[in-house]
Amino acid sequence: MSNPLLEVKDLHVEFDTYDGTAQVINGIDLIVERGETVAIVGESGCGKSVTVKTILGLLPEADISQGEILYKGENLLELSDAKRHARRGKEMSMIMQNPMSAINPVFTVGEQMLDVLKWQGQHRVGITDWVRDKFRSEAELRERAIDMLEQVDISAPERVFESYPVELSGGMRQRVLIAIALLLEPDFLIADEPGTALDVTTEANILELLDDIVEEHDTSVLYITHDLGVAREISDQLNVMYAGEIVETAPTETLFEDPQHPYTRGLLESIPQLSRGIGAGIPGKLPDYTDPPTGCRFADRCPHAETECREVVPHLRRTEPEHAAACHLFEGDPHLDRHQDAVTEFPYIGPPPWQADTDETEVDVR
Amino acid sequence: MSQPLHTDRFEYAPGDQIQDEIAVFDDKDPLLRVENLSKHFPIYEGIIKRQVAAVRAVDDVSFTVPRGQTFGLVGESGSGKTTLGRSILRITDPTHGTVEVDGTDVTSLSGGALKKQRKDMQMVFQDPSSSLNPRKTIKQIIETPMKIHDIGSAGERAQRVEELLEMVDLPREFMYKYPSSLSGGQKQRVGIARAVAVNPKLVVLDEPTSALDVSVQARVIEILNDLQKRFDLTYIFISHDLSLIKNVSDRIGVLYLGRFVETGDVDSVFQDPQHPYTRALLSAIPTVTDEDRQYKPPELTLEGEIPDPREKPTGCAFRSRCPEAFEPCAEEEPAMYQTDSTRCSRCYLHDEAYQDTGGSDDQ
Repeated sequence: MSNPLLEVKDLHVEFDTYDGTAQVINGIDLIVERGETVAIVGESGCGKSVTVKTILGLLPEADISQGEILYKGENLLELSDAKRHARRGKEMSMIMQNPMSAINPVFTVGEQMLDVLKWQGQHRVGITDWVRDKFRSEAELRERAIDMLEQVDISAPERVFESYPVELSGGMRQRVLIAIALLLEPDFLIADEPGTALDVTTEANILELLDDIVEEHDTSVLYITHDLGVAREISDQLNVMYAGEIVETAPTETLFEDPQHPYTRGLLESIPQLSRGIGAGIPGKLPDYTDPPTGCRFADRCPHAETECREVVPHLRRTEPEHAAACHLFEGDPHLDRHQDAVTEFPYIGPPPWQADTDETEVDVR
Repeated sequence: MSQPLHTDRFEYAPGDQIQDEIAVFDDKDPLLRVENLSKHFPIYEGIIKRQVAAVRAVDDVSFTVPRGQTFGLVGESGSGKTTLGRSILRITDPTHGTVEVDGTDVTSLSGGALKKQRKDMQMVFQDPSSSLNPRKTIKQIIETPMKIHDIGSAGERAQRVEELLEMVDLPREFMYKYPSSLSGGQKQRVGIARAVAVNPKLVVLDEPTSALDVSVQARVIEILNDLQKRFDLTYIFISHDLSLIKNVSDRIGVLYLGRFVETGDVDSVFQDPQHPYTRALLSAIPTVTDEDRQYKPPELTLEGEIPDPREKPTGCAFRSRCPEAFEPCAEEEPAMYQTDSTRCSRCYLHDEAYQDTGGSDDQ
């Protein structure tokens, strides 16, 4: 716990819109240990992508009103643009969601890979560097690029190196994206739903590949997905996100054994399963970010909500040694240091109905 | 279920070679009967645009669907699921074969008769955002099919729109809203209301929930089930999500490069898949519960991706990725084999003659 690679503390992100200020990220805390894969799971519109893009600094229009992003102990938000630029690509890298649009269609795969290797995320390139580059041999860089293509299980790396993206299939392109993201052997990799645009069989291959490579290079990964099944296969630690807040966090297996937050339970229940039918889903929709509820953001959709839920914000509380949920149905010590003093803000309305009366009201998730 | 459903090794049930897949299921008076349906897209080349080849997107597909049941179509992208759905409704005209809906041969109809027939067959599209006209109100959208088929007076139609909105669980105020102010799930419910507005018998659902979140998907599926019971609808449910297909269908067909590789009752196919491709698909499903893990057959990873349909492998189309492929697969395409009373699978491993040769590497 002492020296995490990435630590996000109390991050707030706001956007100015015509309807007012949208408080999209409302106090997120996240820790990625070295060599660990952490997943963020949530539905579309819950702020997953905004979170990772804020970490990388890809949202110039966002107003980061509060919070810290500590990467190797250094607050990224205080760095100059040029310094952040240098971190991107070289130390942290991202695999984008859609392999069809994340690669430039007018350059070959090889050209794009060589660019990454040559310039390594430099913000500006001086004229002397540029001229020098013209006389430098590309053979070594080319070898490295082809070697990386081979590592992502591309069977004809030389041919792919010379190809334009349109000549490749979806799965191939996703492999190329992974190869480009890993070219500079980053310490930290963000994967934003890399399997969503692919078929199940291809997705399974990509997940396996990512797992192997991450282990080999000892990369830490922050994996974004809407699919709990995928998160279960790939991650060590799982964070469930709802409306810009993390509502439950636990080691992956613990979370699946004992899902606590009503949203997590609802989500699990909605997934069509092979052994059991489809649940009822979660009625209602995400709250309006420009006018979020004062209490729990999930209260309007929650079957167990009480008056306290609509009035007091449920901070994350530690329900078990490694398990924390943001719900008044659970008792526990504050999970985060910044809530340590505010013990009064932790009302308890539980116990949860599915524990109190297991025979009748049990929501059989497992 | 405490025991795993699958053993560590695959067993391939022997089967009888069959010519007529429809005969296996022996449905009396099916609502939909598709026989040898093919859709080929020609490829033209040269200055005079001579046809040099054809992409056989759907190739000789036969099946029947009993009234009030759901037939699930599964396959990877590019397998021809959508083309098959569209050919059945004659949104695209099939190249060969016949489609009978409730005894009427749809493929022979044209002009006014076809238009009349379309009242019985409707479709729900994949992407709710692009399948609703953004410049029309919800009322106008749902009303359009009724106007086309000249059903009721303006007052009656308005009444019907209200009823339909209630059926798909939307408030009646939505009548005068535009699609842009609806969420994805709400838009798809409007799409469903539009499809059932003219009391169809057959509805083709082309990935109706793939653009929706899981929590929303569950509700849409529930609405579809309600409507099916209420109006005795027959569904063709197209999806790439096998867990979803398992829950909504009565019978399924697994498509690979335009051909059925396995058809049968949904429970038996999921409990004991017969074709290597079905097994690979099932073993690739990400699962959230331990019960579900037992449903997954032992791991069977597929190499590569679905081949270019212009250059299908000779013999069995699945040969290039199949971990079980052996000599006869390259020579000629296998026929369908009936492996038990409710199932057919297109694989040489079911042939008595090859029972000892294929199946596993340790033999």
